[in-house]
This record gives sequence, structure tokens and C-alpha cells, in this order.
Amino acid sequence: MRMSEQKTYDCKPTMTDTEVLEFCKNGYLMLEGVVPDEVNRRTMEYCDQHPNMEPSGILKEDWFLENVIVHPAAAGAVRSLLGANFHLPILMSNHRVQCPIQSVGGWHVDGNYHYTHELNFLQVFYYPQDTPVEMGPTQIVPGTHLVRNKARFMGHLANIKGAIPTTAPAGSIFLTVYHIWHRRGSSTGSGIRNLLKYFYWRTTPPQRDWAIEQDFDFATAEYTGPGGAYVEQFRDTIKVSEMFLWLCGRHKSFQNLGGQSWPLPADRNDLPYGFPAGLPQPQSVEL
Amino acid sequence: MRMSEQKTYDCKPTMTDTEVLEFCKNGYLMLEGVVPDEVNRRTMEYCDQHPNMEPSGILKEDWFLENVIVHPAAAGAVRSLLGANFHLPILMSNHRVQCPIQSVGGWHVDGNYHYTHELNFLQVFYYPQDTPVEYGTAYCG
Repeated sequence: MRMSEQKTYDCKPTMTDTEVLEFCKNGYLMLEGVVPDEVNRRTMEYCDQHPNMEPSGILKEDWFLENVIVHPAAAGAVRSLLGANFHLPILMSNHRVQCPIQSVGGWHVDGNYHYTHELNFLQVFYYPQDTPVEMGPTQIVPGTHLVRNKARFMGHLANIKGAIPTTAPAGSIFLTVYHIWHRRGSSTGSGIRNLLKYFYWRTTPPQRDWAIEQDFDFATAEYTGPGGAYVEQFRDTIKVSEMFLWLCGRHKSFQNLGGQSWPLPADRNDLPYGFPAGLPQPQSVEL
Repeated sequence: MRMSEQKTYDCKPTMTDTEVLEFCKNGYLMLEGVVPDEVNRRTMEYCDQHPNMEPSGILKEDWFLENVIVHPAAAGAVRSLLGANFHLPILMSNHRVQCPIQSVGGWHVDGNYHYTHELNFLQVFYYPQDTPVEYGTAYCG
């Protein structure tokens, strides 16, 4: 079967417990310069020939599918986060702009967001060209996938402390939780900037079948991330732990008893109070 | 079993209906000067030797557990409010500061609060030294 005839895909997961947890904290993962130059060049040509906003025809091109969509680094990360036999993209968007653009976009989350601990799909971006800050790369605010807000209540915000530009060399792919806050950066460079965007979808229930670390300790893992800068104390810690346990297929045992209970960070002399029953301990083999 | 090996504790409750109701109204209960001077002094020494923010090792010290954590007045109140076989502390924090501090802290509640009618845990403070207003007593901090 040709690659373009496949609806789903499977491969070996590449992310570790710690990397999955980091994704839960940050809401994104950047894979820099993983796509070969020749494929980047060919993609640029395709985009020039199909300058529309939704060049979904590229998803029928085996050379693109094999070298970008199921690139081992990207697909391995998607396999880690969405599980086996994830659904391949069926829509390609191109945030293609003519630089320079003096103005900066407004902070927003794209519509049809579901603020939830579940991760059933991934929004993925591919830069086929070098995209330094001069070319107005998308800006994101790490951790804001945990900060519930409406787009029209964030558009007026100016510079947000902690925001980063997703500057990246050609061939970079970055994965995000859909509802991470983002905006277009202003640009001072000249020329066309392409930014391809597409989605993968989960088809199987979540389970901890990525690269398991034998010494990973659910009791003492650090669940606090950059989202803590924007919410009530420890709210992000709770949300990150819930998302991580959901990804592990352990959401039924998730609990937060309040106060200094698990998963709050602290130097305790015993298992944290409220530690969910049944979670694996270091060195134990998860059944 | 040594005290430091126990995870839970039980004792006779000491509070009356009226006192429990007062706690519900006020949200706090003060037990003044219940810990003996010798224990206070020893605790101060421990804190000087372990000046970190989370000296949880003190919860492995039987002299501290017996004289502070399950002190009859404190444990009796805890038993009244949390019921039988309440879980003992596993984390010790020390809000240790160098006085004087001119500024006052900001009013706050600590994170991971659940506003609820349920009382499933208690936050307890112990002053091992005299703490007049000149020492920046907490409204909580």
C-alpha cells in the first residue's frame, strides 16, 4: 500500500517518561532541523506552486509523507503522545505570509478548543525554511495550554512574560497542544515565510507505552512547569499531573486531596499523602 | 514501635461541641504555651542546625514527635477535628526569617486550596520561641 493510501500509522515511540511529562508542562515540543534540506527545498517549491491557505494535496505526495509526516523523530513523538495507530493528517494549512509585517498578531487560541486533561490530537507545525525572528515565527506562551481563557479575552494583551518565538532552522517540526496561547510575530525580513500546520489524531485509549524509565518516580516527579506563572499557586502542578496520569492510562486513580498532598513538590519523609493508589514505584515493572 | 515509625495516631478527643463549633466559626484554634521549654529550646537548636525551608527530618525525631506532634493538647484537638487514627505529618516547613522586616507580606491563601465544608486536613503552626508582634507574627506567613 502506498503511504498516501494509509489512514493510520504506527512506529516505535521515542519519548521517555520525563519527556512526556515535559510536554505536559510546556504544551509543546520542538524538533529542530530534522527534515533533510532536499525535502525542505521540494516543499518550498510545492508551496510556491500551491500558494493557497490549505494545500492539502501535499498529503497525497509520498515523498512528503515519508520525509515529513512520518519522519521518525516526529512520528516517534506523535506515537508516544497519541498511542499506537494514530490517524494521519487529512488537512494541511499553510500560514504563508509576505514579510515584512510590522504589526504583531493578537494572542489567541484557535477556536473549537477543549480545555481538558485529555490529549486526543496534536497540532503540528513544520518550517520548511530557516525562520529566524526576522521572519516572524509564531510566538507561543509555554504552559498556557493549562490556562483556560477565551481568545477575545487575551487579544488585547501585549508582551507576555515567558512568551517565546519559535525560531527554528529549516526542517524543524514542533508539536503543540491545540489550545496553547500563540500569535504571529512581527517580521523585519523580506520574502515569503511558509509555516505548514496539520493534525494527528488518537485512535486508541491512552497507556504508558512509550520509553519507560525504570527509575521514574511518580511520587517525587516535578509536575510544576511554566504555566505556574499564570495561574493560582499549584494549579498548573495539579493539571500537569492529571494530564500525565491520563496519558499513562491511570486517570481513574488520579486524585488531589488539597493542601500539601500529592502532587505538590516538597521534601517529604514518606510517600506523599494522597498519592494515587496503584501507581508504579521505581524499579517495579508496570503490568 | 517507635513513634517515628507510626503513620497514624489516635488518642482521646479533647474538644467539646462548643469548641468544635467555635473552630468552624473562626477557622483556627490557638493552644498557648503548651510545649515545655526544654522541647522549645531543643527545637530551636535543631532549626539552627537545619536552617532550610523544609527540615522534615525533625519528624523522625521521637522527642519532637512525642512532645509536639502528638502533644496531648494538640493531638486531642486534631483527634476531635479529624477523627480517629489521623495521619501524622510527613512534611515540615519552617517559615524562618531574619527580623526585622519592614514590609508586610501580601494577604493570600496557599495554593491547592479547596473551599469546602469538609475538613479533611489541618494546617498547624508551632512557635518554639516567644513571638510577640515585634517578631512579625503571622496572620499567616
